[in-house]
Amino acid sequence: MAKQSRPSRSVPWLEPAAGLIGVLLTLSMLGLLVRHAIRDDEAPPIVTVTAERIVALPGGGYVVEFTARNRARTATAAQLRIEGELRTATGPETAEATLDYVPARSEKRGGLYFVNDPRAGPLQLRAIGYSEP
Amino acid sequence: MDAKRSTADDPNRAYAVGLARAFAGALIFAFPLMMTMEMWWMGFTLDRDRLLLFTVVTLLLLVGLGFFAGFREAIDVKRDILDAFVAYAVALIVSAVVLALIGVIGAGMPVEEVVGKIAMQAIPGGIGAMMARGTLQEEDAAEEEEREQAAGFAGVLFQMLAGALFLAFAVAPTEEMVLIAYQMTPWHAAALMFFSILVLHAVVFIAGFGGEDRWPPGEGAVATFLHYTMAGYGIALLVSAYVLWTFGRLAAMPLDEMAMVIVVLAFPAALGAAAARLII
Repeated sequence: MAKQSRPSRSVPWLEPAAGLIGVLLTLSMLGLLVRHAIRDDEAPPIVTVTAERIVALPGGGYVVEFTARNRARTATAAQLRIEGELRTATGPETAEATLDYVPARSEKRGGLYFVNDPRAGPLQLRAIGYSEP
Repeated sequence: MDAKRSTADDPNRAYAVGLARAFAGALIFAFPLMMTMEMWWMGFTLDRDRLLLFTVVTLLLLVGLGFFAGFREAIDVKRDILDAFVAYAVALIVSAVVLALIGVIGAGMPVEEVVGKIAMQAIPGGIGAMMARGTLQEEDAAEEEEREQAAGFAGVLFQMLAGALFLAFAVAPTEEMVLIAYQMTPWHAAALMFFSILVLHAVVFIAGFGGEDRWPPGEGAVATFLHYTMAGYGIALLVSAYVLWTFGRLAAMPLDEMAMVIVVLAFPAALGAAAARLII
């Protein structure tokens, strides 16, 4: 039986086009990976935490929305614990949050709840610990 | 006289059997994800626009699958569209029933959450319902050859797209996906790339081309590698990037890190593309 008897729907130009796109994408990915490998240093994650917004909650209390930025070249911070300390007249109030993963040169957002008004006193936000993924 | 001829005599019965296959396919393909907690969370955290887009993409994919994997003599696009929507409806029903049975959706939950969870599960379910028409249906080697010849290269691309999308979607929601990317070095990722391409090429070769044991008519080894294998891996990379974007896993990531995660997910995507070539 002749295999070519049934008319085929194949489009002649599609084959090399698809192959070319595939090769280009693959080479691009490879290039990015090589660039990543070259940049790799053994430095630990370097995290800075910035307060973005303070919102008063209905029913009392406040939330401080923050952004944690990992400035390391390649190291990911896992289980990153963020602590906020608010100095009030009656003593410091602390709040804590944990971010699952903050990859290198990326940022993740979160929030800390406070009973006292964070706008009233000095508020310090910092990362207190992480684990390697 | 074989069994296929008798069901052809009664089109209602044939359709009912096909529908039963669709239910089975939707259930089998979707249930692992129905028991994955990240999928439940996606039900209410996933950006609605992205979920909608993914649903539309899935429906288009289902229409394409029907078009290329269909068993009919004539081209009937309206029928393909209808089949696609039926497959999706089957998936919705299956998802709703199972999710309710295992308590993931319930009476007290907000409507958006219930709808989101069902819609998420209907995506792999719909692909499963459509694939079940092909895999569970009997056809002998000669009929399979004819069908693959008729579908042509575009059909091959579509098969690979369906398989890649399905497996990538199945794996992408879980935390382990990102964890793996963070644990690997770029050298690991490059090795994974080559391994993905190797597996894809091996399966492309094994699956054959419309019945041929060796290269497709008119092409040599290099051309086959470029057109089929690299096209397949290109599809795997694009599918990987799209699925990751849908789940929000590429947000605020530098390009280098993105490449790592995309290559990691492209591995199951490539396996899915390879599996589709074998199964469909």
